[in-house]
Order: sequence, then structure tokens, then C-alpha cells
Amino acid sequence: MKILSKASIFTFCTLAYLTGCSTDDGESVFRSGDEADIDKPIETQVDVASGCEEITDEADKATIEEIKTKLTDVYSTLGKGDLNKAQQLSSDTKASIQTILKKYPKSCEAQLSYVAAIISDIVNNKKINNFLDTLAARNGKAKADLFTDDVGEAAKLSFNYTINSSDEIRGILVSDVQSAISSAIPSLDSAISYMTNIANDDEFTCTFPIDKRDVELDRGDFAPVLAAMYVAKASLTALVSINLDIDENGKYDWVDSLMELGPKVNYYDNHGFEHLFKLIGKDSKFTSIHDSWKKQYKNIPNLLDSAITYVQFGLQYGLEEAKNGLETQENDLYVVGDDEEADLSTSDAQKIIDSLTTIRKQLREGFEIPYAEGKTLKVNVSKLFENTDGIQKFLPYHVVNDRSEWVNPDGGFYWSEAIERQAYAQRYMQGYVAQEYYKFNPSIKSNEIYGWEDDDTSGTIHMDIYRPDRIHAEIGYFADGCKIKFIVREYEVGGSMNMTVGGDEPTTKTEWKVPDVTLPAGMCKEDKGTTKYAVAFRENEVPNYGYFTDKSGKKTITIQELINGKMVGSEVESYKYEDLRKLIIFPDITFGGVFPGMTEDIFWDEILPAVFEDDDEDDWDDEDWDEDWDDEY
Amino acid sequence: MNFFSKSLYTIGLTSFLVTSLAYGEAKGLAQCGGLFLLDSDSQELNSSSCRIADSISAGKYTVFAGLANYRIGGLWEDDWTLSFKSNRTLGSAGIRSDFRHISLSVQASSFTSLASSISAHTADSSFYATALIERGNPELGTVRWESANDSDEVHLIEARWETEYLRKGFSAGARIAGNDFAASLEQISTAPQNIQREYFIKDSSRIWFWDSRFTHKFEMSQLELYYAGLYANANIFGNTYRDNSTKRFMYIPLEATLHYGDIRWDHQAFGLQARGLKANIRMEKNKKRFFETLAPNRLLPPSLTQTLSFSFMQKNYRVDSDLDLSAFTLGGHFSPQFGIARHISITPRIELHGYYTYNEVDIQKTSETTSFIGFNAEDESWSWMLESYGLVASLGLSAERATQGLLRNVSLFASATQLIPLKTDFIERGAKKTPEGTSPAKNKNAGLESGKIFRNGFAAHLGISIQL
Repeated sequence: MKILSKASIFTFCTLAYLTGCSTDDGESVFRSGDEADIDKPIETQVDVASGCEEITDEADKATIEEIKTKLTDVYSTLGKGDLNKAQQLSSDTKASIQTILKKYPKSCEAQLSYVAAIISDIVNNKKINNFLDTLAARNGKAKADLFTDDVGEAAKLSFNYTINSSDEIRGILVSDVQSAISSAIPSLDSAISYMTNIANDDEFTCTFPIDKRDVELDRGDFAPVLAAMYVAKASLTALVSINLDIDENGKYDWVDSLMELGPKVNYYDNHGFEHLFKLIGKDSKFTSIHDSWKKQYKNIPNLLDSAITYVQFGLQYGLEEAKNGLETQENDLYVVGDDEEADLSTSDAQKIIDSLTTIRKQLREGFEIPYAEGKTLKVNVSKLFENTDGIQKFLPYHVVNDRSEWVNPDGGFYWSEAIERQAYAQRYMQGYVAQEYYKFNPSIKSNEIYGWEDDDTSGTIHMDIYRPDRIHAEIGYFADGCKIKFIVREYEVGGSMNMTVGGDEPTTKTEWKVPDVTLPAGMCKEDKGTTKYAVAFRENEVPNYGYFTDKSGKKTITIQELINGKMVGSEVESYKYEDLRKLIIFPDITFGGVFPGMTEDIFWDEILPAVFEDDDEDDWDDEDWDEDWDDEY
Repeated sequence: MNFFSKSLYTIGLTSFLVTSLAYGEAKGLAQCGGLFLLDSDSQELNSSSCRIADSISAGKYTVFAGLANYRIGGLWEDDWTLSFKSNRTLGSAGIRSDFRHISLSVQASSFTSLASSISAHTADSSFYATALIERGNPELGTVRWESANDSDEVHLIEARWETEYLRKGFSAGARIAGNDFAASLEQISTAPQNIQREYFIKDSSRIWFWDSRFTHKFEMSQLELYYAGLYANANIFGNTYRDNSTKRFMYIPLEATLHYGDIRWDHQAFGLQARGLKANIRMEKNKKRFFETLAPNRLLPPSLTQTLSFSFMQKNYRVDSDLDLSAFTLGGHFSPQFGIARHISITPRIELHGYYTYNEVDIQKTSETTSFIGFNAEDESWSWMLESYGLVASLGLSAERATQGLLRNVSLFASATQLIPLKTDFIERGAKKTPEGTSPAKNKNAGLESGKIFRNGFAAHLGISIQL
């Protein structure tokens, strides 16, 4: 049922709302100090008077009741997604809450109202508010619509934000987002301090007027909310701590060149790939933990631990209440009991408590996941929070070639006197023609390019463009040694839609000419008076990006060799796992202790074959291919 | 066989009952009948039944036994599929003893039920009275709800519906000088039954049924007046059962009234008939906690998500609905009898009735969301109106061979009935009410567009009866 996804999204939104706690407002009684920053986490300590004291003055009692009514309005308004109205209502109540809390610092009712106000106060956080405004404006949406319960829409928005930075949201850097989020954490801390005091008092209950009835909140409700706050803090801390800066000097242009692969077919000279390799390079800080947040990041397991403890705490309270039936639960948000008129059975509540104990243990000590019949692998999640250096140190030993080397094949090919279908020259010429055309007509959105050999030294390149106009071109190539000449044989605008059956293909005149090009030395060589061309064993698509090494830095296998396999006699064979384990060396096969039981043997002999079982190349025979073809067409 | 056209205005269950009882007096009988009211892509409603029965009399005692199979099926597809299915084979056996002024009868069935009756009558049977008591514990059927998406948290709910009923009835009649008068009153009450299944349905209902019949025989013809009424008050509960704990996720309180009247005049092969039906089914939402029409949180499988959903995202739906049905028919039949050989006769039957029906449904749904201390309620309402007139045509044929020597009386019968709507108006209105205002809701039931509900309605019947 959809309710689950909606519930989880709502919970997430509630957590998101938690981030909105304002502290940068001069009137706040519990100022956390200067604005937080990703480079400067704020430690917030709030002295909360322990225990709960009643408000005695009748006039103040009336005030707090009024505040509670207003707060339920704020929450109901938030539930409807009306952020602006919630902002108005929230700021109206805030001042009176602060006054009453000053007067009764030991009143749990006042503390609770304060916590409720903090949670609802998303719109008063300047940084987040500004960020949301910018995001909304650039997506052409109302701010409230950013909090959608449509998973697809939310995913689209996130995708737009993280990947497709081409237009709408260029300029908002990941670090800006992190900075905005980090400014909310101190408020969350003070809310947690108050809520901890409230949840620890098992006598304290508080009624809120909801839907014309007085709903009684007690530890059974406070504890899960406190747990949610801990989860929120854990998630936000993780989000803020990790270096996710994929920008290059404050810009995302490199993503554009990755995206331009389509129209330009620029495989051998792509800056996007270069930057991508840099991100996972040895000197990159990408995915490492910001120095100033390391302590907080390492504390995440403790936050999750607290969250689990408080959920259990709340359920345990519910179980205690269930012993008296409906007596003390009649107005609770949910009723624990075994009668038909209850929400949660005592056995289910106990089961959840027990399973949470198991989860907590697994969080600390790890758990087993099955990967093959009768075999399990231990996963120790807590180790994830001990590694603050990023993923780079776990990648196999490797070297990324300088971009100038990408055109020169390295392994996995043979020399031939003909420019065969899988010659690297073919791919190079196609990319060259595509780029030349892009220079001639930069308005194109994408093109498809393919070709074949007519004889040993000549052939045809086809180019299809669909947007903005349909264009088809046929370009002949002729090799004179390593020098290639091109002739645009056909050029047709409008395309096959205009063709009449049996009629001649219309050809449009064009000014476009493709200049001669000389193949790179790695793809073509003169050898004792004959010209030879490098031909990949299997496929010529991947440039010479780099190679794997052993620990000492000695080359073991290139990317191109890995893809093209090896020549055994006259047959090309793929590398097997037993070959690869000698060629691809992981510095730490346990990945920092996340998989404590992992060994080279288990990884290469068991895990990989189990994971990639279905992709075994031997299974991919012609029959499968035909079936797939039939399915598609 | 005009009860078929009658049954077209009721639902399949009634059709089955009427069909089964119609030939109840035959000594030996085999028959099948079916009603196929609706059969479109997204909605289906049909029922069929077959029954064989026989009896042997020896002196004051008659032993009777029967075997019946019935199927009732309903289907409604939207973003989900809701279906009701009941397919049962029932065996029943009983004994009746007829004394001078009193008859006693006991019947047991695999339903399971046990019925006993006592009748008192004058020696010439001009006055009679019967008291009946029956207790049963049948499985009514299975309701199945399946979402379109396999990965939904709750993808399939298959709930069995069992009930325990007590039926009490009293009937009396008199036959004086060509006048025949009979009246009866029955009460059926059910007690909810908890079943140890993950999902189950139970009900607590009280049904009153009364009818009366007056027949006057003229020299060449016969006049019959009939009236029946029904009042039902049912509380239907949908529950989950897990680890000795039952939780309610659905509550449907229904109140129904039905009035049916029939006047017919038969003159040998001709007959005229007028019928009218008026019914109302109403469901009123209950504001009380645990009496929500649907409470999906309690339906979720026990998990941390379910537990937390009570605090952060509690959804409840409360529904009001009102269904008014009225129908009127006027028509006649012609069924001449032809003797085609000694002792063998055939009787074709042509029936034609005009019908008019007006039906209205109003539904109001309140969706409530409670999240921590926030609360939201949203009202949506829809109404549908269906007005139609047309013809009900029926063709039938029966053949009968009279008792001759050792050969028993044998009769064969078959009939088919078809609805022919001449004009059908179908209007759907919908509105979504939120505190900010009212906005029109989209048409949610495109499958029920004009006329489709009746287009495929037909009934068929086939039987054989053997009598000493």
C-alpha cells in the first residue's frame, strides 16, 4: 500500500522540518552562537532543569493552553504543505513560548511547547530558507511543492540538483547546501536536550487539542519523537560531514563535457572523464570527512544507538500502560493492548523492542548477509564511521594516464594492414567527424555515428542527427598511410520522412567539408614500408584511460586489456577471476573492516562469481541475443 | 420462469435463492441456473447454481436429500482488484413426518446448518401455521483485495468471512372458498465469529423479513397479490489476527430496507404482471475511535514502520453512503400448451415486460491525517445517478411427460432472459472539499459509463424434474 511510502516520506519530511530550527534569530533565549559552518561545527549545550514542575498561575495556564492550540494549527498547516502560513503562525507563537519558558524553566509543558515550536520552525532558518527559495525559483515551483510526497518528483528534483547542473541550479554548490543544513544542527541539539528531560519523566503527560478531542501525549509519544530527532541529527551530521564537493573551482562545467559525449562523441579528449578520475584519485578529498566534523561523524553510531533506545523506551512505556487496559491510554495517539480496540498488540510491541535490541547489537558488532547457498559474509557497519579518509584508499592500485595518452592503445589489440571494424582508427575517425560537424553546426543536440569498412583502407561513416532537425550524412574515408581524407558523399536535411517509395533520395547541398586528419601514432604505424593499424580484440570504444598496478606500482593490466581479453592461440579469451586476482590488487580487501571476514580467496572465488553469476559470458550465446532482439522489435 | 426477470433487479445471491426454492416441491429434480448481470473489463457480477434433489415417502414419513453447488463472484478493478468469491457444494438431508394435525420436519445441511419446523393444520388444511427455527455457521465467502503493485507494503488481503446465524420464522395461512392467504415473518440474527486467519471478516447483523400473499381463483383465471419487506441492520468488521491478538482495520455499518410488491393475473396461457421494488442501503460514519471505515495503519504488517506510523502518520477514512434503488415493471406472458404426443406436452413461453428504474448513490469520504500534534481532514464526495427504461424479454420452453404406468412424470425446462435498455442516463458528480474550498474531483469510475452496467445482463436456466 502506498501508505508506507507516504509514511516514510512524511517521516523524512518531519525530520527535514527538524532541520529548520532557528537559532540565528536575535530574540532566541537559547542562542547557539555564531552561524554554523561546515568548517566550524557548533557544539550546543543547554542546561535543562531536570524534572517537571507544574505551572501554577491560572493566567499562565491559560496562556500555555492557547499556545498549544496555536501549535496544533502550525502542525496542521505544515501537514498541508502551507509553509508560508506555518511561518506566520509559528512566529506568532514563538515570543509567548519564550516568555513562558523564561518564567517556568522547569515546566515540561513549556519545554515541550518550545520543542514543538523548534521543530515547526523550518521557515525561520535563514540559510535553509534562502536555499529553498533559490531552489524553488530555479525550478519554477512554489516552495511548498519542494516537499512533495511523490517519490518520482522528489527523485527528479534531486537528480536535477546533483547531476544535471546544466542550467536551473548552476551556482548552488554542495558545500552551500551542507552549510545551510549544518546551521540547523545546534537547534536540534537544544530540542534534544529538552525532549530528553521530558521523556525521562514517566509521570508527565500533556494534552493537545487535536480534531476536537484532547489528545494526551506521554512518554509513549515523546520517546519516538526524541528517537526521530536523533535519527535526524545522525542523518544531517552524515550529510554535512562528508566531502561531496564535485565542483571544479566552484563550477560544474566538467559535468557539461561529460554530457556532451552525445553530440560530440568526444572519447579521446574529454575533460569530464578527466575530472571524474581526479575525484577518485589519491589526492582527492572527495567522500572524505571534513576535518572539523570528524568527531561528530564518528559519533553517528551513538546517535543511532540513542534513537533505538528511545523507541524501545516509548514502547516499553506503552506495554506498562497496556496492563491497565484503556484506563490511561484512552486519549493517546496510539493504544497498546490485545483487545480489538487497540492499535498495537503487546506481542508486536515486544517483538519490535526485541528486534531493536538485535539491530543495536548488529550496528555495533555487525551482521551476516547471505551471498550464496549456505554462505554468509559479515558486515560491520560501525566501521564505516571509523573511516574518515574517503573511498580512495580502498580502490585497487591503479594509475590514471595523462589525457594525451588516451589515444594510444595499450594492450588487447593486434596490428593489421587493414582498418578493420574494431580498429581504434575507426572510432577515432568517427569521433573526429562528429566533432568537426559540431564545429560546423553547434546547434545540434545529439548525433549518432557509425560506420564500416568498404575495403582495407576505405570505408563509410554514417551520421544521423534527430534534433533540432533530422539530418543524415554519409562520409567516405580514404587512408593514405596514417593520413585520412574525407569526402562528404551525401547530406540530407529533412530525412527519410520526405522520401517517396522508389524515388531518389533528396540530397541537400552543403558547405560542410571534413579536413584531412593524421591518425595518432599509437593507432597507426609505418612498418617496413607497410602501414599497420591497431585493431582491438573485441571492442575499440574505451580509450587508454589507465592501468592497474601491484603494491610497488608495477603495471599489471591495462583497462583496454581487461576489456578486450587475451589471445590464447588464435582465440580471444576473457580474463577469468583466477587471472584477475593477480592483476587487480586491493590494498585492504576488508574495506577498512566493513567486511571483517573478507579474504582475497573469498572475494575472487566466491563473492564475485556469486554476484555476477548471471552475467557469465558463456551463457550469452547467440540464442539469447536473438531472443532479446525479437523482444525489442 | 418469470422469477428470473425479477431477480435481475436484485443481486446474484437473491437470484440463487429464488432459483433454488422455485422447484422445491418436485420429488426428483436436477436444475441449473445462472445470472450474469455485469461483465465488463473492470467490473463483474455473476452467480450460478446447480441443484439435484430427491425424496422418498413411506406412510407418514418423507425422507429428502439434495446436493447443490453455487458460485457467486464479483470483481471490481481500479488501482487495485477487489473480488468476492463464494463457491460451495452443499449437501442437505432431512426427514418430515406428517400426522393428522401436525407435521414435523428436521433438515441438516453441510452449510453448516440445522433447521427444524413444526406445522399445525386443520384436517382439510384450510388453516395452517408453521414455526421454524434454524441455526447455522456458514462460511459466506472470501473477499480478496489485491493492489496493482507487487511491491506495496500490503499487496494482498484475502479475508474469509464466517458467521453464525439464528433464523426464527413463523408463517400462517388459510384457504377459504377459492381464496388463499398466507403470511410469514422471519428474523435472522448473526453473531460475529473470530477466525484465526491473518485477515478475516465478521458481522453482527439482524435481519427482519416479512411477506404476505393473497390468491383468488376465478373460474378460468387467477389473481395473485404479493408483498415482501426486508429490514437489515448489519455491522461488518474487517480484522487482522496475529499472535492471539485481533485488531480492527475496517468497520462498515449498514442499514437496509426493501419493499417489493407484485400483482399478477393469469388466464390460461396468458398472464399480466406488475411489479415494484424500492430499496435503500445506508451507511453512516461513526466518529468514535476504532470505528473508522478504514484504518490502514492497523492493516500494516507489524514492523518498526507500523509502530512509528502511529505517531507520525496516522491515516483514517470515514465514509458516509446512501444508495437508493427503485424499479417498476409492467408486462405479460404467453405460454400455450401443445400436446405433441400421447402424454407428452410442450409449453413455449414468451415474456415481455417494460421496466423503469431510478437509482442514486451518494458517497462522502473524510480522509483524516494525524501526525504528532497536527491534524488534517479532507472531504470528498461523489454521487452517481442511473435512470433507465427498456424491456426485459424472456423466452422459455418446457416439455412434460405425464405419469404412465411405471414411468414417472418427467419435465424438462429451459429459459433465457435478456435486458434491453432503450434509454439509460448515467450522471456522475464528484467534488473534493478542503478547508480552502471545493474543487471538482476527476471521474473515478470510467468503467461505469452510461448503460454499461446493464448491457450484458442476462439470465439462463435449465432443469429436469421427475415426479411419481
